[in-house]
Amino acid sequence: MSKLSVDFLGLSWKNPLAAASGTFGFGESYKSLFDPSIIGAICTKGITLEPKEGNSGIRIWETESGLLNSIGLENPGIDSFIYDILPEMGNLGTIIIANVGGDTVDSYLLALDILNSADDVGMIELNISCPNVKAGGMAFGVHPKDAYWITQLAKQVTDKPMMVKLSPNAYDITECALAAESAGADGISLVNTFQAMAIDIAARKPVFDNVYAGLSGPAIKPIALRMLHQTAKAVSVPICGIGGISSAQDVIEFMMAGASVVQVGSAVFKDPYVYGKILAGLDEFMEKEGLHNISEIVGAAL
Amino acid sequence: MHKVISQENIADGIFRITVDIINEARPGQFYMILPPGGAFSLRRPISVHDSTAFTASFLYQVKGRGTKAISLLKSGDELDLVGPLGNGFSFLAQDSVFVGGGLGIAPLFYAIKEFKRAYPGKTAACYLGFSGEAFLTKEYEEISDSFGYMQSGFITDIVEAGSNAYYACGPEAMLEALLKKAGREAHYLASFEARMGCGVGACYSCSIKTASGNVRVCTQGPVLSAKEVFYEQA
Ligand SMILES: Cc1cc2nc3c(=O)[nH]c(=O)nc-3n(C[C@H](O)[C@H](O)[C@H](O)COP(=O)(O)OP(=O)(O)OC[C@H]3O[C@@H](n4cnc5c(N)ncnc54)[C@H](O)[C@@H]3O)c2cc1C
Ligand SMILES: Cc1cc2nc3c(=O)[nH]c(=O)nc-3n(C[C@H](O)[C@H](O)[C@H](O)COP(=O)(O)O)c2cc1C
Ligand code: FES
Repeated sequence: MSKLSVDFLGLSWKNPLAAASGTFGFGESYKSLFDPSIIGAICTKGITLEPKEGNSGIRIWETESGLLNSIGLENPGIDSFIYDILPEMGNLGTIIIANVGGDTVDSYLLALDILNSADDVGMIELNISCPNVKAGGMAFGVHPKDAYWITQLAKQVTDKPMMVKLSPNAYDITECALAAESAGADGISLVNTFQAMAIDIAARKPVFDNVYAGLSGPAIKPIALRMLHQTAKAVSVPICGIGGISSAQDVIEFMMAGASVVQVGSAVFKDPYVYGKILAGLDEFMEKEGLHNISEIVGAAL
Repeated sequence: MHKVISQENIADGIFRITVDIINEARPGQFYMILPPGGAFSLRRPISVHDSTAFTASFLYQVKGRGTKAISLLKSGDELDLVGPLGNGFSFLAQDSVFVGGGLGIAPLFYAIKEFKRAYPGKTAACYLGFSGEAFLTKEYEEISDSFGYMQSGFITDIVEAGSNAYYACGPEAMLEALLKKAGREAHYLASFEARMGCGVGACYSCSIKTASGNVRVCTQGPVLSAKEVFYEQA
């Protein structure tokens, strides 16, 4: 067993780094720059039952130490994912995590059911930050009772290991994590983007057609770390840490706060070679600390 | 990291930076440039303006803090760039018209040079529209068979119609006006702009609507068929 390999939700990862949903396409995009098989797992762009065109207007905006996005879940839909994308994605040489979104409970469940037949998908990441159309657009992940409800139904449908990806915009993220755990989630991933906005002062209106967008990047890291730490104290299922990670130091902090594995998102835009650099940094850290396996640090700072 | 060979201040707020890089770019492709200084989360897409075997140049306007930071680099400094990215222009072996507006003139220099290298017997007519100060007109005139420019007004007014092949880059209003002039039967390719996250097709930040559905400007473009993009135009 290599020093960086870890077990997460019953799968053996070559290292604890995953590419975060929405920042790594379907794994093919960065191939001309580096071999994606160096990454422990790849989360797909959020997939929905039907194809989605995404939001109109500006979709990405740089902020101090971060960025705002308002993509609107543009994706080719579950059928195209399975027939057009997955055959190639399955050959990338790393674990594939299907990130699943939806705007009604039924659309989540149908998508999960279809994914049961996709052998190349190693696990599911249930994105409950999506607005629930029938509940007036309130995200599924805001109230613990909604998080419980969708997780329980999803677990009944899917055959795959499933982590529930929590929104930092929840009233109480720890309560949502506990709800997802008691509804049967195999793991928790956190956090998705923070609701935020920008204003075009010349036009005197919001930059985004959708008004509010999601903040990610180094700006959110300390808050994400705090949320992870609180959640790790509360739940006993394994956790995947996400939010502003861009260096080996960040990964180590998240693991010490209780993450078994982590995801790197926005940092890849700034530096497409960030994964390789983080892995080298982790090797160096383990050498220096005399560690046998990276898992030894998980929860060290709890 | 690539060494900056030169940084020229071409006109007010307009710079040309040349870096040491092995040229693999086709005309119309771009690089994602990380402005120096560590304060940036996103790279800036900038088209290849000119290239030799071991250099690439970018002609750019200082718009905001990123291009400002790039403009402060001096020869000998390092620049972090990723590319070349995007599809680039594909030329027909026909007499061709090149139309640039504003900083949209940038990619046309390399495009005209490469067009003439591929098809020395075919003519390249070049039209450049500026708003205010004109720059680099001599350099563009030298590589073109015919040349015209304007410092105000609509450059498309002086474009002679009747050609079969058009290549353009500039404000969308100019690109759309050129479509009226060229007609929907012409081979008319234009380089489009969109805000980008990744530049490699991963994030869907740069999607635009076209006649054949959404396309990602960074990978399926930036060069697209103008009539596909302006599909709602009569
Ligand atoms: C394919 C492509 C090729 C381009 N080629 C050139 C070129 O050769 N010369 C040139 O001067 N400009 C070019 N541009 C426009 C150039 O990318 C922007 O002017 C530049 O990103 C502005 O950055 P800033 O930090 O100065 O401005 P800011 O407004 O501070 O930038 C904030 C953010 O918005 C983005 N942004 C702002 N304006 C644009 C825009 N027009 N297009 C895309 N993103 C934008 C920036 O990249 C950055 O992420 C090109 C754009 C694209 C998409
Ligand atoms: C452009 C972009 C698109 C995203 N799309 C999705 C998505 O489809 N599904 C999802 O669960 N999260 C999505 N996210 C959220 C990221 O997966 C991640 O949770 C968030 O960006 C925080 O991590 P970071 O700071 O490392 O980027 C997206 C983020 C960005 C920047
Ligand atoms: S910029 Fe990311 S898909 Fe085009």
